[in-house]
Amino acid sequence: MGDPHTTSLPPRTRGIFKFIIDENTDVSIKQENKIGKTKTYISLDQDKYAAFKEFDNSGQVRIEQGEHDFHTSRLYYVMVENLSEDNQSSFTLTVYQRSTIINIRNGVPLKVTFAGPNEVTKNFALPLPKGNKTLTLQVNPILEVDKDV
Amino acid sequence: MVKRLGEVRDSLDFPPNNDDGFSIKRIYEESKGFLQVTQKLDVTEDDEAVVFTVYIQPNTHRGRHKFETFKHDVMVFASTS
Repeated sequence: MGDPHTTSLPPRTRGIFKFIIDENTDVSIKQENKIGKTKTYISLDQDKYAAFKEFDNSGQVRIEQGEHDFHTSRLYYVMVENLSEDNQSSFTLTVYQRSTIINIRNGVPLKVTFAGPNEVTKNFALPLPKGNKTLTLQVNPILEVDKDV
Repeated sequence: MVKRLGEVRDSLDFPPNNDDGFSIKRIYEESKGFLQVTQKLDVTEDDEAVVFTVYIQPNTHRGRHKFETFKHDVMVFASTS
């Protein structure tokens, strides 16, 4: 996630790449072809016929928060087919998702809510004073069950 | 400078692997148990910070007649001493 991945495929072959969404925000998948003709499928299964997005050659697609196929904690498959009979293809794939970091104050407990089925992670940052310190982190679930319709 | 401090999982993996330098203490309050982790750091630069991520299980399950969505409140505490 976030780091460009460059690879090449022999003629008439398929490459399969996987990623997982952690954050409950839109995701972008970008492909830049250096050489070759490709067809790319995005799917929740390792089956191109189950793909919910596809594009030819270089391209970029977004999976938006709230979209039917947006799921955190699920494996996504990016399947790239090299359509050429004779030549290899070379391309760079990048999956990007904006990350939110909550600033937490030193020694002050912070109550946060994980709401909805797709909210599975939260990031925190604590500024560190200089010197030899003991860092303490504590997470305490508050067992309140909210049954809404 | 970016330094990875490690990863601590919940009680499913308890006792966790301590190779990352964390000291782990299990705490019980009002019949609920949770973990506290500590690590000694020598902070030499200005504007350094620790960034950490709390993961939670996907919070939807199938109810008897419909999907029920659960909301989870979590208290997060971080300090240096």
